[in-house]
Amino acid sequence: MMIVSCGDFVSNDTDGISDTVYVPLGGLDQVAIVDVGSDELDFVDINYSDIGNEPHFVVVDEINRYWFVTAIKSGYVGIYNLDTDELIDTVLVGDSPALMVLNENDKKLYVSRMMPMGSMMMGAVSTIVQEINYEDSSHIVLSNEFELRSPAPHGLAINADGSELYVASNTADWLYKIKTETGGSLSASMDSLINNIDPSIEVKRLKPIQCISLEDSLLLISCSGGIHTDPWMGEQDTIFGQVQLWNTNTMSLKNTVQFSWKSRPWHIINSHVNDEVFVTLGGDVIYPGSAGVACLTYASDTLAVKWETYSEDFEGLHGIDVSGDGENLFVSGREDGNLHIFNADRGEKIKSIPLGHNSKPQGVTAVYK
Amino acid sequence: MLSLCIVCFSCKDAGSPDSLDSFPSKKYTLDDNGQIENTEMYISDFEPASDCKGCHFDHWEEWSQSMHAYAMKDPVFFSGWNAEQGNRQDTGERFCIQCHNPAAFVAGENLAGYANAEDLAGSGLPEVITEGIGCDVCHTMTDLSPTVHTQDAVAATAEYHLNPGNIKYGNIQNPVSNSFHESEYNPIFSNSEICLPCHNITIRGVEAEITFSEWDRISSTAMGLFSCQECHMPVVTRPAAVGYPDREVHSHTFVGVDLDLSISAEENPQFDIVTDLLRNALTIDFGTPYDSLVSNVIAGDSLIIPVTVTSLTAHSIPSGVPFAREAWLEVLVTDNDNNTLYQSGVVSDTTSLDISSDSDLLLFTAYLIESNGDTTGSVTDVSSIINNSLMAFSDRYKKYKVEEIPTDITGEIKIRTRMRFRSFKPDILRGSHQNLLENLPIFDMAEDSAVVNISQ
Repeated sequence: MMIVSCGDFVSNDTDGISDTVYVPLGGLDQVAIVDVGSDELDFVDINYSDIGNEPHFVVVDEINRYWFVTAIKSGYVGIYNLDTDELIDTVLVGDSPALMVLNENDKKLYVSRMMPMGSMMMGAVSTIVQEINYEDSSHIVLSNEFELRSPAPHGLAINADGSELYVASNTADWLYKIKTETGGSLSASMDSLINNIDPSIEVKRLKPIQCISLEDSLLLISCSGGIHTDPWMGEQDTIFGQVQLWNTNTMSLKNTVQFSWKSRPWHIINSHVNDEVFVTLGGDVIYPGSAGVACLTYASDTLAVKWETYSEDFEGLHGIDVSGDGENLFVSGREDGNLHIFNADRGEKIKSIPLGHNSKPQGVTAVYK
Repeated sequence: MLSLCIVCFSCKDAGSPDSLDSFPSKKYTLDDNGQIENTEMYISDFEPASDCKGCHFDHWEEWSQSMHAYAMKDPVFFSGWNAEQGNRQDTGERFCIQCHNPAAFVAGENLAGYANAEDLAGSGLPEVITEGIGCDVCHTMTDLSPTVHTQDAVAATAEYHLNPGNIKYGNIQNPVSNSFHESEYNPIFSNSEICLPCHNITIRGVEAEITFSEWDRISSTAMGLFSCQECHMPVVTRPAAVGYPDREVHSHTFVGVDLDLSISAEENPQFDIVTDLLRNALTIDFGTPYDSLVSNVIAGDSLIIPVTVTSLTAHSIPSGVPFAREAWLEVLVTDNDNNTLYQSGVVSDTTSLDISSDSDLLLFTAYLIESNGDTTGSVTDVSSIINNSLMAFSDRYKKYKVEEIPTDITGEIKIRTRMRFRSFKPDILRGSHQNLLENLPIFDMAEDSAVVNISQ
């Protein structure tokens, strides 16, 4: 099913949403805390550095009652009390911290990076995933780091017992499985066309963005694709945006769903109630209507589109999470400045909550408070 | 006749945080030819840059040397604009003016009939028109604009959100009050999107001038890293206005790759900063991820020279009007006595590149194609584009082959590479703008050299 709209296709299904959603606002150096039921907003300032912070992603430890935010510009990670939203501590982790995953039982936080940018980020440590320990309730510390052979380790997921991390290089199109206890790793190319290439080479074809670890050793990876230039011939071609399904036991690709090259699949999240995942499609600013959300169904070796929703109202859809009851999706529009709420079953938009002028909403994390 | 309705910025929710407050803008509507149907703006609503000069001298001086101030002085612009008015009488005047003179565009001031900058300067039109893209164009901007999508008629469609008047908007969060104008912080000024609508234009669906999208398509820019302003309006510490304390403000040079070619490069006040910008735009290295340059070659054998060009730039090289510009790799191989063994991309002064016989030439440029399949220099006639630019933050590999090193030479082979750049392909200026061609500099963006020993 595909829904395409140039206007507002608003469902009247607004009752019963009681989640609180954390949305880093990169343009305002704030994290918005959104009561989705009432549309009430609260804001936490992210002011770790005078050079600007660009908060990017939030993860929530509901067991130990903390939330964490990466500041991609200033290089900090901050820890907050989930009940009071007060800052507890920060730690400087270096260049461009991006995504995070948690091991709540061991109180470990893992942090990925964004790509280095030539002279703009000369000296960037671009091949490591860091581990932060937050056992001390008042202080967080860098406790370990895992070095990959590929740059820009961006996509990041963790398995259920915290024993394995999965990391995708945004620029080399390589996937890594890392044992958190030993640091040992296995790796595989994500692109069959470049299978034998050195993992340090930045081929920049698939451009994986985010990973999500599921039961039965399944891993889903969103890849933004887009325009690619052959580095030898200079010819440009277009790479489909896609979601890949991997088996992490065998580190083998099981299935792929492709979208338009303009789709730019971005953040991805799984349903808590059934075998479905949801992915934002960031779209291309030149092509209005190319941004949207898609729902995919999965099994051990199959992956299929259940619905897609597109609208010219969406611009740069970025972060995504699912409500506690699994019935709603919360999606940030980086360029349209909204938190969009969708029906998870049908993909209909329920409402949009403006998050501010030039707010640049990034990752989305929902909490059933 | 259908109208394109330019809608006033819609209010965000009336929440308490400042970021949720909306900013006003004045409306205008365009007809199918891009002509103003209705507008709430008058040209007298806009103040000329000279009004800003007294208090903001540094900003004014930088702007006055910039391409924004050159927008209605550039002879190449007047040539293209006049041709467009001749080719498309209903739309040609407005199409170019939508970006070269936004104040005149939104106020509906028709500027047809001015053949050159001198005519315009002597026209008696308000200074805010003759000055090009002045201070008020940006500092009355209250919301971001979308890409300019141009249909087959080549009519202007730019959507501006402006509130000309006494309030000046900017990115200073705590502006000092003064008696000359009100000042308001607007966070859009930190955004790359504020460079729209003009720096992202499609024509008939062709991605003709898409610097913004070249930037926007990089993963990291989607995550908030690197704005246009960081390179083209770098931060400097100085007073925002005369007599006030130092603070961090943005340079208003809008440094890019273009220069006023009516004066020599040496006289040009922006020459040094353009040079610096280009010198930091890419690197050249011998070798590729798959090959290294050998240190030794046997006389009589061939020498393979692998080279990697790495972009350090957050948009393509060249960009803006890539079909008018060119960047190329010069490779020169000589023996101990400076005899040339091999060369590619070697040109001097105003010579055109030899793209027909220099088969190894590594050239970054674009070509506009019109509907009959021919190349064209007119962007408004485009029906497709061949874009061979170096994409943002990408690598390009190339192997050069020096056939059969002569057996009668000894010692060393010297290899010199330079990435060179011209803001115009010489043929665009040759003839009609010969005086500009004489002042067209070739910039060296990067260079590398190596020595290979010859063994017998």
